[in-house]
Amino acid sequence: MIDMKKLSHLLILLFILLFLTDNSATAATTGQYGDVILNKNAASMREVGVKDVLFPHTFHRIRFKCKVCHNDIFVMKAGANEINMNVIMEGEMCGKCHNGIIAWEPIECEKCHSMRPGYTGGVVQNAKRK
Amino acid sequence: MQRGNKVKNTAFRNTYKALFFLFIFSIPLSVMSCTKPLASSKKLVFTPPPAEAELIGGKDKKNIIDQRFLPKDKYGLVDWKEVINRNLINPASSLDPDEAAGKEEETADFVIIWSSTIKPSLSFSPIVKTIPIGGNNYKFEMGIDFQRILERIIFSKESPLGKTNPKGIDFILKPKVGLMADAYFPHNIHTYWLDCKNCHPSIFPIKDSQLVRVSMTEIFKGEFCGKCHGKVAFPVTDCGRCHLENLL
Repeated sequence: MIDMKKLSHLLILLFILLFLTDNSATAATTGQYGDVILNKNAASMREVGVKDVLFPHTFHRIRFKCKVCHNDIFVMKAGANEINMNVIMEGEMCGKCHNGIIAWEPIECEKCHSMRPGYTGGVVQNAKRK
Repeated sequence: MQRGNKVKNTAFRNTYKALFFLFIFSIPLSVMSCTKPLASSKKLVFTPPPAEAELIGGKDKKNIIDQRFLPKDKYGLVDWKEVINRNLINPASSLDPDEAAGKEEETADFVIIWSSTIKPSLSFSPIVKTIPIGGNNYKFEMGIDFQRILERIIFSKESPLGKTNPKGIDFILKPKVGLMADAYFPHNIHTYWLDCKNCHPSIFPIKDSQLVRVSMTEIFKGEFCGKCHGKVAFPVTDCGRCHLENLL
């Protein structure tokens, strides 16, 4: 007969191990080479309770050439752009496309605020733990 | 009562055992998960929901392909040159659809050799060599001054290169070290993606007095080519993609 106690202990152990291994690989870091972490205003993001922004650069590059956004909308330097939700809602920065006409509206926070906090800003492959 | 106590004791012992094993096993795992580089794991794939993929990208929705199916280079990153050559994607040039449709891309007509070893001359010397690169025969001009030729391209319509769009001119950068292969800079793939203003004159000045000398140490630091390469374009550790061979 199977020892139910041992089995339950094993199961608990397995669950805890899964939780431990989960943290960096799958949790929120769905970034690819070239994707950009935007966390210049990390303090205010924490206040509201949202994660850092992970901008899928490669995803946008398939659809638009660099010249569409650079340098008219965004400067090509990490931390050089003043992006905040007010500006986006007014139709500047990301809001130039994300307005419900060209792309989806910026009303679903988790779509952009998907990066686990605690990493330095800039491209994902160069990101380090703070 | 005694028996009940015994059961309790074994249960406690078991939990302690479990905690001990958990502790032992979790150390290497947590270390591994901490040190794992962010972008290298194959699990980290951005998968857009299909409904959004259809919405994003303006008018030309049919040409949008999921990045997982795009050709990859030796690092497993998207090989954009191959993507463009095979016509797999059709990225928009502008947010204004009419403006985007009117733009056509130029191909390379001339190659400029940019080298410290070539002495400046007042006149253009004849074309001496053609070398096939990527299926096209590129014409090489020798003994020309880079600054002067740029001046003539841009400011004089009577010069032989006056009709040529500067976008269609490629460069060969001769390295300081003789053992290293020449770096080939294809202008047209860069102008396909970028606007002139993105690089000139802020990163690469085009005026005589402000010309810069590009070096690998500064590129690795994130200057010049390193502003994009290593960040959003292919990494600069992929030497052979620029340093093709000794072309001259």
